[in-house]
Amino acid sequence: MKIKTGFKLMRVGIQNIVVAVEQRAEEFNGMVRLNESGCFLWEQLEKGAQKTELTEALVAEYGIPAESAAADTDAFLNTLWTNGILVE
Amino acid sequence: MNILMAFDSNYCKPAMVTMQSVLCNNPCEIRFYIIYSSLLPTEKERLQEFVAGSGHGTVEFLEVPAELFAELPTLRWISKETYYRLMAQKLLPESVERILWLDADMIVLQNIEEFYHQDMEGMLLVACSYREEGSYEESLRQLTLPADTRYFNAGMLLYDMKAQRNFLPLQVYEDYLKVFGQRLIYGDQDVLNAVFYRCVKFAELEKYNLCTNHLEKVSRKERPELLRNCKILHFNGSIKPWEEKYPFVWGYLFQKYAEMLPEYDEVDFEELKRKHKAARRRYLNYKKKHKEEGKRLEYSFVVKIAGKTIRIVHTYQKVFQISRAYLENRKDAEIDIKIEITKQDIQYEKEQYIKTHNPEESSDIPELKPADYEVAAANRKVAEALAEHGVLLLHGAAISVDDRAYLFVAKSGTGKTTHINLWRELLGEKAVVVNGDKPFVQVGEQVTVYGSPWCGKEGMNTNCAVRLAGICLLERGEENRIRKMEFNEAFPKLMSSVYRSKDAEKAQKIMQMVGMLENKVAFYQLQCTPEPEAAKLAYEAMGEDA
Repeated sequence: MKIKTGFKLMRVGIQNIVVAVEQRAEEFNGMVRLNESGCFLWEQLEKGAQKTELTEALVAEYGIPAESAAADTDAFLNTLWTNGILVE
Repeated sequence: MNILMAFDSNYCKPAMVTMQSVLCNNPCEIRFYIIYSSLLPTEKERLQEFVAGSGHGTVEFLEVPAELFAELPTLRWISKETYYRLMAQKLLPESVERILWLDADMIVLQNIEEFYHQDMEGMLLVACSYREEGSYEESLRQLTLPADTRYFNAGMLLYDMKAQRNFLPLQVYEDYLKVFGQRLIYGDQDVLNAVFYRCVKFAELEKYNLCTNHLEKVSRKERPELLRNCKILHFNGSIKPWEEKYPFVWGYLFQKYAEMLPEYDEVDFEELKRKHKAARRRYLNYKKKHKEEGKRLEYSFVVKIAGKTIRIVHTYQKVFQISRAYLENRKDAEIDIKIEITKQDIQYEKEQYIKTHNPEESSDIPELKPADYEVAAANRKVAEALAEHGVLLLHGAAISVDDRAYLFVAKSGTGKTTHINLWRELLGEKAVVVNGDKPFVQVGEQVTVYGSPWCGKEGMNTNCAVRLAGICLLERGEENRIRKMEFNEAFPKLMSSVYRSKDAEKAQKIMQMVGMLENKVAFYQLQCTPEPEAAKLAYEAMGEDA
């Protein structure tokens, strides 16, 4: 599982959005907003992290229970899958 | 025969050639009426002497103030003086029942008395219509005339002044200028086409207003026949046969009459002919080279948009026509940005259009032409280039009141145009639409919104720069409510109305510019009905803060 080429996280102030650039912009012209932990997960994804690693990273970074970290990861990945941002 | 012309000092010499050609080929009594604002007394004297010298002519001068029409759009080849003919009805004495208008770049090649005295069949005007397709579409659209209207060239006009006095109120010209003033593309020719709509008897173009650019297009074989039949020849186009860079072969027709005038004694016509020949070689080479390389003949013009001087290289007329109010007329203006619209750009816009207008979803998608795609491509390219200069393109409607502008942002179809029209109703002339659809916004120390030619189907735009005081997210509502918003709350909708480049670096830059809007403009959410109260509420609430 990884991020398709052409999707970029962009930040300004407290705003974080994922947009498509270059060729990818031809098929996706929306944007996906991410919160702080979403951005954190995005960065892990970019480093090649998979689902379990993402959950572990969340626990380590924010010190939250593993259960809610897994739920957060699921929600995060779900958003990306529905927007066609991920590829197997 | 009465002949009407309008010119000032700079056109006095060529105009004399036109007059000479009339006098030479028409032995009847000729009375010239000349509308002017700046002829010197010596020039007037000379004109009088020259016409009287023919033994069958007189001249009368009709003066207009120099500042008249100064505000109206002109082109390099459409001068302020041509507007003077709109004053004909006001200035000409009642005794003039019929008069023939001639542009000062025309030559009368034969006797035209029969034409002059023809039965006008109850019409107010005789003129010739252009058949060139496409060139006048935009004029007709701007003038809100039906698309199948026969647009006439105003170089030659035979007026029934008596009928005009009976049927046309003098006010009509002023009214048209007031309404259409800045939207005129072909200057007063547009006004005349609107005023005389359906009151025109059409004459044969080839005989009475044969344009030299038409001659260029027909085959060599046909040309002699056309010239033999032609009574009035029109050196139309931006380069004239008295100029050295004139690249056509019709200079000899001008020369024939010019040589009769002492004014042209100093002109070495042989030398001029050589220069024309050289110009023609360059012109033909240019054409040939383009043909060989499979390139189109391209045109370019310079506009000033969002404070930047932009040269636009294009193929079709439309993009130039819609940009009329933004033309940079200073010849030595430094160019900040150059954009070139290629075939690929046009093709790309077409694909985008098809993609965003799914025929399965809606059945009445307006069909667009290459010229329309070129207009869209120009907008995209200008937006891309301006992003490098700290300028955003936003999808929204910007209106200016009291030196402050407000920008309404919403998805298409929500009612932005309806809402700003309510402002115009409420505030009258105080409210000026900067751009009804896609204003440019410069984000610097302060935020400035600019008009631009790309403005949606209603054509609402004004060439101006106004401080942007507020951005208002507009929604439909059951009742009218407005509230201030934090930037961060407004951000998602704001960001989705911003033109985002496909270039990653540029997209990041654009997003940073959006971020800079925080603390520089106020943000609002307006829920509104399409009732006048909505405008009143929004204007008062936003005006208080600003």
